[in-house]
Amino acid sequence: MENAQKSETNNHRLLKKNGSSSKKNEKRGKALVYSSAAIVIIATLAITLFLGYKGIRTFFVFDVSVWNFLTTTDWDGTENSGAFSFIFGSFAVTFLAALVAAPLGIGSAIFMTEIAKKWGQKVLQPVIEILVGIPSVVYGLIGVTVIVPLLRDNVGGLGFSLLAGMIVVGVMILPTITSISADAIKAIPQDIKDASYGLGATRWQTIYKVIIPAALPSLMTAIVLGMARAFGEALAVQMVIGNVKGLPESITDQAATLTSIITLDMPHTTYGSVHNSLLWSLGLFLLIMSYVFIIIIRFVSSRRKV
Amino acid sequence: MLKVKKHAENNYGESQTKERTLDKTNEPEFNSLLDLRNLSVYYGDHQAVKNVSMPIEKNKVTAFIGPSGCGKSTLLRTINRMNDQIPIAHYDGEINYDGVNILNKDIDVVALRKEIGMVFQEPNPFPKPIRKNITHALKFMGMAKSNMNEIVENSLKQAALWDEIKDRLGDSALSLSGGQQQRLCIARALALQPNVLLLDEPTSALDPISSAKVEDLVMELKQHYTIAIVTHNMEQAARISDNTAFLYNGDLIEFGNTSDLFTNPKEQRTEDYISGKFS
Repeated sequence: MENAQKSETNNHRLLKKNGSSSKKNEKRGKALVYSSAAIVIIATLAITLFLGYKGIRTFFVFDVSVWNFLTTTDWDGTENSGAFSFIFGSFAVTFLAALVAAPLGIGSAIFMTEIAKKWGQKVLQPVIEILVGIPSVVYGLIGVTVIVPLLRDNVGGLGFSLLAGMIVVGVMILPTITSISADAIKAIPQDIKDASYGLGATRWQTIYKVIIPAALPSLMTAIVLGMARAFGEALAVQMVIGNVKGLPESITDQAATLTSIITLDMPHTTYGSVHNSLLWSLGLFLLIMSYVFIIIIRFVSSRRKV
Repeated sequence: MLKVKKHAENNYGESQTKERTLDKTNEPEFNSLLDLRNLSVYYGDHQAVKNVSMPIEKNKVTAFIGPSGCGKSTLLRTINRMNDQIPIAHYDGEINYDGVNILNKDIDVVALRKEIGMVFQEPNPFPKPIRKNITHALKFMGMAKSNMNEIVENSLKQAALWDEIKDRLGDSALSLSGGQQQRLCIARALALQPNVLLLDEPTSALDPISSAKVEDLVMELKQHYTIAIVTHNMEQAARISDNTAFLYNGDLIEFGNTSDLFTNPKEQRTEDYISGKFS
């Protein structure tokens, strides 16, 4: 009786046991996963705080006016420097590239998911995966050796221009947009497509009126992700855009972007100088913009269709 | 079985006429609008429907019953060429409709689907407002906007949905209950004023009350439309259909008047199936 009682209270097979080996493994696994998550969060926070500290110094230590910094175009590495031409350059390249890549990307996504499924999956998909993997410096090289001379001979100017940046970055973000769009279109349930075909809609009517509207939030996400990539791209842009400090007057003019100026100017500045600090501020601006892009993506993809 | 084949042979000549109604002086056993003749459907090497010949009568409800995988849905989807979506699907035989073989490769499937509408197993409204679900296909046909309100109202009334949702035509179709969504899908098909309505297990995803409403609707609609319905629910077939076809493994085992087939099946397998010996 007493024994039975004891085994029931202390030793029952259903009771929690302390110190068993499986329990230890459990704890180890938990620690591993938790610390991975913690490191990622700490790294993100640290980068943000460091860049924030460095970037804000410009405005507090060197008394550069934020308004002046964001709206004027005279970049001479002094307290009066303004970064507007680079901000404009970055946005111009981003939007122009999206203008090229969004229709082409969504178009080819529709082609490979709806029109030539077999061929699309066998040929187009691997091609796009290869395009994603090509390093940006290679895009830049091709831009310098092919696009720039081509523009110089056919459009005029030096060839190094916003237009060259638009083409190179557009081609660069094309695979990103295509592959995300293709996934989005594939995720549209066959049910809705059947409904449309069953009502006597043609394939194009179904694509245009049913598939695209239903996939729209994800297609927007694809475009914004592509734009985020374009905004942050440094090397390929720097190689073809000309890096002239001033506002471009036309699409064939040379320009500069936030990223290209950081990579070009950083080696020539002294640590702790105004010029150096200004570059940190450009970096902070890039970081803030990448947060904005993420917020836009969150907002767009969380928005339910009617 | 025999009877059906004989009928098909008798009827073939007459069904070539341009009129949709068949010559009544000849007193055909079935006043068929669609005539399936030796229809076989293949998915690659697999034959899903085997040499089926049967009529689908005008202004009647024809039910297709049989165990899962017997080819009944495939057969139904062949009638408005929805199987064309599947690259490996191909056909043999004929389906005669209004003097043409609709399996002919010269048939404009888009025009065909406007005359032979389809409602699917899962309610599949577009993720759009209720009204737009109905006008969706009308716009493709190039209909003037002024006529649309009337058609929206009429088709929703026909689908017995108007009174429930007339005040919220602008709401998302996805806010409706499953049964309402399915009736919206029926209304959407009716808006095109089809001759034939194909229903592929339209109540299998619905609760009993919603199912009953859809069944009532089908009974109502057969006055104006020819209806073919696939169902795995034998009681439903018995309740709402005039003719029933029993398929098994792609073969048409038995076809006939519903009450005859259910009370006095000629084939042992039909009897076994309707008495629940296998499913």
